[in-house]
Amino acid sequence: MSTMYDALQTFMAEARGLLEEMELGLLSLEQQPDDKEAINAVFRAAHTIKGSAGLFGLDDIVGFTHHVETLLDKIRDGEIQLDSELVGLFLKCRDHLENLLSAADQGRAADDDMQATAAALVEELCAALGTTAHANSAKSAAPATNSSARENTWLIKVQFGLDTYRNGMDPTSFVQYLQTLGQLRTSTHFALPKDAANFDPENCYIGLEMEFTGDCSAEELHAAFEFVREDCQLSIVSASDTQEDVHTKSTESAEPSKVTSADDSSQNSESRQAKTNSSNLIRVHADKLDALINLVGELVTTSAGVSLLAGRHHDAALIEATSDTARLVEDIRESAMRLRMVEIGETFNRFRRVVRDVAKELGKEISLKISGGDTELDKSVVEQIGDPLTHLIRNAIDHGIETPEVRRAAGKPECGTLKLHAYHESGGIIIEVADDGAGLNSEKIRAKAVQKGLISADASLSEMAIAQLIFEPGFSTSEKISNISGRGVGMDVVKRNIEALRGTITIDSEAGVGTTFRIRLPLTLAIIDGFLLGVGDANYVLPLELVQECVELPKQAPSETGRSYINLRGEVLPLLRVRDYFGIGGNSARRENVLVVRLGHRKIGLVVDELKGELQTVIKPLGPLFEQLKGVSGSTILGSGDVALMLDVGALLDDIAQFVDERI
Amino acid sequence: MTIDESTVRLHGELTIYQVSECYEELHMALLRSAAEQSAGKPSSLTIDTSELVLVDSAGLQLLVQLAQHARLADIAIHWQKPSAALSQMIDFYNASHWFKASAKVTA
Repeated sequence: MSTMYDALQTFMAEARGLLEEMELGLLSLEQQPDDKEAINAVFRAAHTIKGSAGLFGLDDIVGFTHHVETLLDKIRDGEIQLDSELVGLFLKCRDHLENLLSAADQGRAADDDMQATAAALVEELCAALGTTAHANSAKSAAPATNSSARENTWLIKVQFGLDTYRNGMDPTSFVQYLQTLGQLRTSTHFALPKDAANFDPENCYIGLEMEFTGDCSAEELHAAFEFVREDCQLSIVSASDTQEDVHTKSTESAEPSKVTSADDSSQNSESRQAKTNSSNLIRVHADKLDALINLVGELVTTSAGVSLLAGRHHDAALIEATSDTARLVEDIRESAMRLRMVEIGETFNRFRRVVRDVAKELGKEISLKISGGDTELDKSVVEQIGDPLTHLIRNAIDHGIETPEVRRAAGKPECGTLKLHAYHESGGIIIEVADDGAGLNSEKIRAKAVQKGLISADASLSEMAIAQLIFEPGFSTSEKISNISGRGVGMDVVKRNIEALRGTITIDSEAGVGTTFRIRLPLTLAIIDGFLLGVGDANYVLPLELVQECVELPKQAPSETGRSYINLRGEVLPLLRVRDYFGIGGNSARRENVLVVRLGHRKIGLVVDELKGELQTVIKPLGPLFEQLKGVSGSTILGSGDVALMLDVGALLDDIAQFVDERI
Repeated sequence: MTIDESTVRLHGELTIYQVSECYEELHMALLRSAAEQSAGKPSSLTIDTSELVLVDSAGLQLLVQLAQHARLADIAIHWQKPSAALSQMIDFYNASHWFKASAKVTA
């Protein structure tokens, strides 16, 4: 029983994946209705769902999908032209299928509401087909389509593998499934061993010869036997055309032999390829991975302690051994982190539907361009970035991109463009949400901020500072409140969510040209390559990827207050004296160093006493007591047992920028 | 399954879970019947399936194998009226000839 349950769970997971594929295919079809590959993908998804649902006896799904499939088939054959209305219909059908699946998952049958939805959708599907709607069940649906156009007769010969029963299959289920697709005449051949002593009652000796009449291709019929394909001899021949489309072996042999791959047609080997690929994957519970990462974190800290001890004993062999260990630990750490890396593309693709639906609702034309979908980042980051991104995208469509009339008047193409782009930059990942809309209206934002009491009426703010105001809580400039955005909750939440991921968000906006939101996220949350530096007795760590270079602080550098600058190869580099910033007493070292760090396009020099080099850092959050501290974002334990604080470079840069602003 | 004299009564379920056990007993019964026949006694094996409530392909296959084996060994089997569950399966596989032809019996 539990295997059945497992199988059902697998089916649910697969079906959800297929629905997603279907949605993607449909959305791309909306752009390019002639895309054969996309039509095939949508068709395959529907077909596989129907086939698998049939095996589980989910008749609601089989019956409903059958109608979808019939129409898709006509489109595939070019008999019916696909338009955006039909795509909309298919999307609705997809949503309904999702509801049916959820219901089946919870062991519910379709309720009245769902049946009413199904009936309405089936009616629409049939109207598109040009046939009249029949009762909404698989059995009555099949003959109805038979009478329509393409009716094929196939001779199907199948000899089931000896292990069929043991694998939990029963030949009857395949026959029953085929009966839902068309008309079937069956004759059975029991390939029992001649010598009764060789008979094993748990082996399956059943062979079937069937004459099937229905609106199906050989491919679809092959798919019906998907679950036993590995272990049976199957031949499907068109009755009207004696040409066999698969190589067959005689099914007459008394002892059925296992089928080799040579028996499969090329289309089968293709899906077999896909199967092998998926069998290379292991589904692991995320908790297990988290536990592993935690252990690796402890290992990193402990191994740093061992190296330190070894260094103290001045034993060359021991130092050598610990450095080997350290190297391995680093490799393990990287592999462990990579286990959690997933591509962001899947998250991006989800937005195609969001963009389509929101744009339709608002009467705007928008094309979504996605690039860099193969950029990888930590699974937990990917999971948490979904909501903020959704918000940014809805905002961009609602506030950013103008209506077609306004765009035409402004001399822009009527169809707005929204770009989602991801790429790596110095150890982090950047996600850009860019629109080619009107850009931020700084006058309006200013007025609103004054009205909301966020700033005083005479405050002088740079463009950038004004743009930042939209992240303030309770801020919304949209004149009319739509249900898309404009309720004044959102941008502040977006910013908070991103900061919770140790990320930053910046805005580039140009009036009339567009707005770009740039989210910068760390690749991982738990363990990073850090750079350790010392000021007096205190240790600080910052992410190594931010460090650009280290230079010695020139003797003649001015150092009146905490902040100053140096000339770095003809460039002005603002300096921040860590000793003064954090109020560490004592005299500065005889030779001070400048660590040049860069975040985005901003650069700053940190003046420190000592550069202690690279360090694998396990980041621990600060307790609630220290959470509000400015300039530090976490802590880490060094091999010696000392605590080092993690510098929040973003906050330090903001501080400097504010200082510069004030000066100006 | 109950066996008394020359009648085997099958009841309950005959599926992949029961076929191994059932197979042994059915064949023992068949062998006994064969032994009696070769000893010159007029004998036949009666199989009563009227109380089977669930039969799957493996169950049907077992009965077909029994029928085929009996036919080859020239042992008569008298099939009593099958239960609804078995009839359905027999119809499904068009296997009714196995359950008629060997009933060349002196009931």
